[in-house]
Amino acid sequence: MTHLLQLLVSGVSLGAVYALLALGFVVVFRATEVVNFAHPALLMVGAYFTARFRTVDELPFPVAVLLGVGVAVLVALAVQFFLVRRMSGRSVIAVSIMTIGVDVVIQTEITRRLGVDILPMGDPWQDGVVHLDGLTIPQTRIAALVLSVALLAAFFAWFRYSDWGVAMRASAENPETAALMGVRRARVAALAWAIAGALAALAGLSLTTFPAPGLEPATSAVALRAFPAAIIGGLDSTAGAVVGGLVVGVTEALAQGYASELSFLGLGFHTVMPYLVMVVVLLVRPTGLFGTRELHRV
Amino acid sequence: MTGPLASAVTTTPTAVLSVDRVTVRFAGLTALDRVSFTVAPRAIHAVIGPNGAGKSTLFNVVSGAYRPSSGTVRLGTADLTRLAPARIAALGVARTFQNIALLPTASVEENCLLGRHHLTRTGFVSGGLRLPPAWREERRHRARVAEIAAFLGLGGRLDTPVGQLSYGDQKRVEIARALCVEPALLLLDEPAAGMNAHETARLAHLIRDLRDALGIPVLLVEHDMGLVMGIADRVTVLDFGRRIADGTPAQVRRDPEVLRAYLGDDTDEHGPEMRAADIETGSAR
Amino acid sequence: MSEIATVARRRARTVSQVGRRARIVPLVLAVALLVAPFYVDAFWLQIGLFGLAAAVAALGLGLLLGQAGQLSLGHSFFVAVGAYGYTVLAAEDRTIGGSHQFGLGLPPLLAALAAVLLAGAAGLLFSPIAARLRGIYLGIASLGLVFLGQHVLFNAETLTGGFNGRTVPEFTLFGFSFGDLRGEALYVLGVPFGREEKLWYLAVAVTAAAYLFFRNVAKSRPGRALRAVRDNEIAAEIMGVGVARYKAYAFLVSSMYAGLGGVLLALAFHRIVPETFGVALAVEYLAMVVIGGLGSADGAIAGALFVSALPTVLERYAGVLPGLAAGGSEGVTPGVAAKFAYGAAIILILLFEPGGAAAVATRVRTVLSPRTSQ
Repeated sequence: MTHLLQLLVSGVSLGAVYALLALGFVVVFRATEVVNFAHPALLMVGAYFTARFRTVDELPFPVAVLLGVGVAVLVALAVQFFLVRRMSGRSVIAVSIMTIGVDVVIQTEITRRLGVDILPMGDPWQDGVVHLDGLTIPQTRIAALVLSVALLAAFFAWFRYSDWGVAMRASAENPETAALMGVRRARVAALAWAIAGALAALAGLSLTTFPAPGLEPATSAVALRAFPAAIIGGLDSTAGAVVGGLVVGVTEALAQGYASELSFLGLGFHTVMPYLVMVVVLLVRPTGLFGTRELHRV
Repeated sequence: MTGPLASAVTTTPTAVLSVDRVTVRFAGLTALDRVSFTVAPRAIHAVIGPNGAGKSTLFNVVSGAYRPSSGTVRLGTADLTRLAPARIAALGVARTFQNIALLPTASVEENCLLGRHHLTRTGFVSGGLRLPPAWREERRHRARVAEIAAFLGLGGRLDTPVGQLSYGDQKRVEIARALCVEPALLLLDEPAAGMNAHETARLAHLIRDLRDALGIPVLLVEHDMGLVMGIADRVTVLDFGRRIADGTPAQVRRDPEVLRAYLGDDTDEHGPEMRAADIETGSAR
Repeated sequence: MSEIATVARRRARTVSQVGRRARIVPLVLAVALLVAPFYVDAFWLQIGLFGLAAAVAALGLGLLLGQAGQLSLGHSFFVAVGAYGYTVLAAEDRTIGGSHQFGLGLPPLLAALAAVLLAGAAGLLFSPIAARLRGIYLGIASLGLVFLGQHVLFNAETLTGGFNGRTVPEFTLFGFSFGDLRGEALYVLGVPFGREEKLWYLAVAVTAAAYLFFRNVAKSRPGRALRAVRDNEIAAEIMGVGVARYKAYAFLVSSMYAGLGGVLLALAFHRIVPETFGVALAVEYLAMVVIGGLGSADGAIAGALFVSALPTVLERYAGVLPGLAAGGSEGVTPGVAAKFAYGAAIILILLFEPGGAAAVATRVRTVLSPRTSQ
């Protein structure tokens, strides 16, 4: 029983991180109608610079994180301003393929810099654990969970109640009318991408600390799981992103935890579990659990 | 004018389109409410009504894009509401679209050839291997497309990408494509939209010529009253999804319900006899 | 009136001139391809083999994405089915050490054909899922296919040899072997013909056939139907094109192309590992068709040769090109440079010339023709 509970705790904290990632991805889609395949790249950029500022420049951890997030936000804004904006009016597929190109370029550079190194984040929790009721929980996981929950709550409050949040929702729902009512689409778009960059960078932080050894090229494969998470929830649903993230996190943790029972499904099955769940969900609900829109306008 | 368009239409000449108590509901909104009317063979039948009356919805039901919540649409003996759109096309129901639904990067010829899809059979194997039946069929049908295009004055522009044509020409390509289906029933969705008086007059002639040459019924949705009153044999008027009048143009013009729908409830200034001009200016609510 | 007739006559002459000129290029190309093994060394022929294998697969993706408008990021999955399908079907069943490697030992020609059909079947199975999904959902779902497929490749050790992979059986055609024969040397016109030379002709023949088939499909009824599905689904349906059906056809045919490319790829590699058939390869195929020009057969082949040969070309000339470091050292290695190049190419092409290299070529041709179209 404790084993199951342990896995659930692990899964929820992992799921919260995936939720952050998926949320950034969905925010960009809802606000700008772009499926940003370069989202994992933003995560890598944020994590890389955080690690660098910490280990090479030896800046204090909070400062390094802030700067890392800042770089990711800048990159996101640059992509939106110089590339995506130039393609306004083009089809969703065209812009999405363009972001694939962006992802290739950015990830190639990050991977080149990483080489065969694994960069530690230099976080204050390291491999410390907390014992609670027979459960052993890494401190980093608690930190990740607290951070994610805080960010998610802040985001949804902001999204719901603040002027900018309302503007973003209006713009997503009906861009023309929103524009006519004074919502500056360019600003909303930039804000959406900035949020995506920040969330990706922070999620990256959580994915590269204990029990992960650090930032390595393989981290981007973990980041890629934001896609099935977003799809499971429904590409245009922010609440769906959270649900999708949790589903992916919990199923992955369970699959990993029961790996010996599931050995017939092969080694490392937990890494493909998100995609299996995604395919199953899509069979039943072709637009995800909470998704609504027709993506391909006729 | 009859020569080039004579074709091998196999649907019986007495085939009739009967719309029977068709109801369409979208999330609480009733777009069509038990609408019924019949299109006689060889008739030009117009469906008119203020904006939002449900005219396009009706078209979409007949061509198979929407499934009605209840009611049937019959062409001859076939119930169109139970058929997939592709099957409906195979029965010879051809339509044009209000917002031009052509492939902009494809040529006029290519777009028209799409209309021939249900009349041809070349598949991946015969097409990919360029077998004789394939290129013979291709040649035959290209010739027919050229004929129809020439009839509509598009002969010299068969290779032009449709996106480069003027709006008026694009509308003609839409009609050409519909004709390439070798229709048993022609549905024209606001064919006169965006046209000036001169173009509309030419369109009126064209529609009449098509009906005479092909001997098929033409169902059209239109806002332009001049066109409707001029060429329609019968008019059905919709308002808020309901049929409020059905008759000859002369009858409909005098119908108080129609008057009310178009000009509002204030009937003091106009007698029961409405002048065509009033309808033409279309002072809708 | 006579003025117009003169212009018409002159134009007709120009058109036939251009026609003659246009026919020279493919002719020169064909001759070059046929004599290549006599003048080019095995290293470059090997590169060419990879390029041609990629070209066949790229043609399939071009059909699916360019003609039918279906964004599938799962192409490498179907290529893997072809590659591993051929290997398992043609290999002899045996047990080495403690591990059993399953094989059916079929004649290579039969194995190759069956592998292609297997890939097509996989595509057909995926198509109902694909038909229900719109645009981007389809793209990401197909990505899932690649991950799931690779997982199976890594784990089904008796079939695939697991992580270390499997040796690909040599291709034989009616007794003639395309592999290297021990102790025997084949000489053609004085030139020694080894594995690469022999496979070259096989690859050229297969690619040529695939190319012609693509062009024929594009020019005829099925191609038109696919493009209608791509550009306006509703109009297509109303004109009588069964949209779900044609999407299924698109997946069937494109995965068969992928499977065929997979067989060629397996032969070119001589030994296949699961590592190869991942997301990176799927993105490469996408790059090929985008760079070459979506929907264009010439573009698919050009893009395929460009993307697959670029890393090797850069590596060979790393010494000469500025900014390129040798492999393993700091700085930009040729492999990395190649990735930058095609990543940037995707971005630039989509921003400025979505028609890709094919569109650029058309523009160049129009500019160079003696008379501008009026």
